[in-house]
Amino acid sequence: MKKVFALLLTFVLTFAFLIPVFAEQTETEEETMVLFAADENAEEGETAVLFAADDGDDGSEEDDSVVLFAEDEAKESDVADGEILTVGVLQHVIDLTNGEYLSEADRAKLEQDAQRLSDDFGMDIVILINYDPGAKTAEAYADDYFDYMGYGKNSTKDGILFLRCMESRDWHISTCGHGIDVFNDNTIDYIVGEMTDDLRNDRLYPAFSTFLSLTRDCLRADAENQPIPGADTDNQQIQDEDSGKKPNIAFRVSGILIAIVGGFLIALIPMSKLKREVYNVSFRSGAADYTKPNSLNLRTKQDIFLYTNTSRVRIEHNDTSRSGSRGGSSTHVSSSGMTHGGHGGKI
Amino acid sequence: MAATIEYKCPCCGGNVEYNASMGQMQCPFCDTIFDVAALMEKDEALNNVQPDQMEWQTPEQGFDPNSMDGMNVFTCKSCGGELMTDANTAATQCPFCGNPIVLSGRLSGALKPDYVIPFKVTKQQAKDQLKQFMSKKKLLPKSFASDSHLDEIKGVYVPFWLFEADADAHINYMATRTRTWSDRDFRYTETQHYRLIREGSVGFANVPVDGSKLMPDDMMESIEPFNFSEARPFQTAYLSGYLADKYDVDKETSKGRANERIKQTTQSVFAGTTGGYATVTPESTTVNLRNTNVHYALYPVWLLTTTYEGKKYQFAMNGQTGKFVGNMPMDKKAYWKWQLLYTAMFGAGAWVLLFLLGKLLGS
Repeated sequence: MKKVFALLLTFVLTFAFLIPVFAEQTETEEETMVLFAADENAEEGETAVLFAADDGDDGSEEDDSVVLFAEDEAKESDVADGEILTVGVLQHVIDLTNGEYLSEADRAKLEQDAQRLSDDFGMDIVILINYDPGAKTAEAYADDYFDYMGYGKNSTKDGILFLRCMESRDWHISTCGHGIDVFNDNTIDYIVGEMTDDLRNDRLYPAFSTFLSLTRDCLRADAENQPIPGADTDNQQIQDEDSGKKPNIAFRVSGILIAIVGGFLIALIPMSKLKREVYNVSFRSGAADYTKPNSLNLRTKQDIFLYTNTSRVRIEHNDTSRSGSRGGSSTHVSSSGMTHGGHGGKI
Repeated sequence: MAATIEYKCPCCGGNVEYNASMGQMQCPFCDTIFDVAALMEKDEALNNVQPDQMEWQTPEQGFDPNSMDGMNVFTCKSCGGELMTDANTAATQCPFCGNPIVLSGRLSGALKPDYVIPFKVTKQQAKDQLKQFMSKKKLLPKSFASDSHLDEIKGVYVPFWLFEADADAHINYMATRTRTWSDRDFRYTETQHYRLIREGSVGFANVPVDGSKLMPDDMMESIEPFNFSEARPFQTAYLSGYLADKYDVDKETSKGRANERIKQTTQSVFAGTTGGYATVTPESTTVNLRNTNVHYALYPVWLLTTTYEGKKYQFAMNGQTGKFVGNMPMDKKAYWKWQLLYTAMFGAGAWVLLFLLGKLLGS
């Protein structure tokens, strides 16, 4: 009994920093609790070994999500050694605003779609709504939620998480594992581009419906080895209207300027010929017309090699400029040590 | 000894002139042709070495010779008219009767030219050339051809010093050759440095330097080259009908210009032997002249003066080759019009090129 308490406490303290972040987590449909099998030999203060446990849906432990901690206070629990606690299934649509922007009915519908989508393609699709990311950046918040809540299927933790902060107006997509490959930066921009209007006007249900539908298209395309929608950089759709125009105009103007200046300089050549028609009196530079023919007598002609000098210039390789990019995705490492892709912005 | 030489036609008594298009002496009155050589004996007097003689003929009015420094008065044998010439005139025409007069005093002894290239281009040809020169010049004001009038056209034998020398040169150069290649990580540039030594000689002959202060030197150089193969040993007969001046810039002063030109060409001839390098820079140059020789010659030049809008414009034409030079006013508007036109043309071309290049690199 005492051992169980000690282990619980250890876990709580280890992840204590997450408490304020997840303090607003709403009650879930099912109680989620820390799941682990007790180690008889663990001492007070030691961390315990975690085992996956059957969450009851299909009678096997495979692919069952594990929550690392659920409640914000340690609880003494009458759990016998080895007893398996019931565990809740991880949600795919988490609304930390408690229904302020999204009705429960809508959330449930989205949850169903997201769950099905995740199962169909073997990748966790997660939608997370909160007020603001607090002390963290939206990126860190999204990454950490994904990592520490245990999302991500397979050993590569494949998944994509969409974070929407209603008050700070941030959005962030965090990808992991195979998600980084399927949803590259351009695809993310494309998807968010389709959601922008709804997000701006806080129409969350339509926005996330779009999200799930487009995500499904991308995953299907990936499964069928087709080009993923929005991934191609030349695709007109995914380019933001404004940023697309700016480089174009700068190129055109500088191109015209160069052409004009170049034309002016080249024009000086025929102009100097025309000028000479009118100004043609000048001293002659040499006496070339008066050399005695064949009188050049070269008595000494020596070409002496002195020394050689070799210099080198490093060639810029494009692929090193975007550190750790994969197929158009820029990646970073989150606090848990996992590599995540994706990016965010404000709407 | 007669101060002036005049050539009288034995047939009609008129004054014989050198005919440029025929290359012989011709009487303009009866058209009889004479060989120049036949009139050589008239020149024999010139061969006597005489101190510089300026025969003065002072008019009766108590003319003060000192007030006209350098100006001399001569009497025309044909009409008796008095003509005033400056100190350098060696051949001229009587302003009254048009009779060609050669002032032998200016052409004898040390002043006797060694060679003369006789006129090949006639006065009419010179006039025609001027007209042609003024036409079809894009930057010339349109009214120049019509509003300018020819003030004066004269055929002058201009005195030249002809320099001959063998130039010995010793020139050292620094030269480089480069080679580039690249592998996956670097672009390499290899530069090999060489010293080139060239030593030898080049021969020059008949490098002309203007010996007349009055004649603008740049204009005289602009109508070059003169072809010395058509030069003749000097005879005053050639001067008849034309103007001629003796030199007033001596050969010592002219040497500087000749050396400059000889050195310049020697350097470029030697530079021509340094092929096969990416860059060649002369490090040290030494040019010495030996076997130097200077001759005095009269070369034919047509001088034309026109006035346009109150300004005088001078033209010169090589009396042997017909090369025509002269500075004319430039129509500024026409200049900018053409500059803009060419800029637009080349600019459009450059833009198309850049556009195509961009497409090529972007694809």
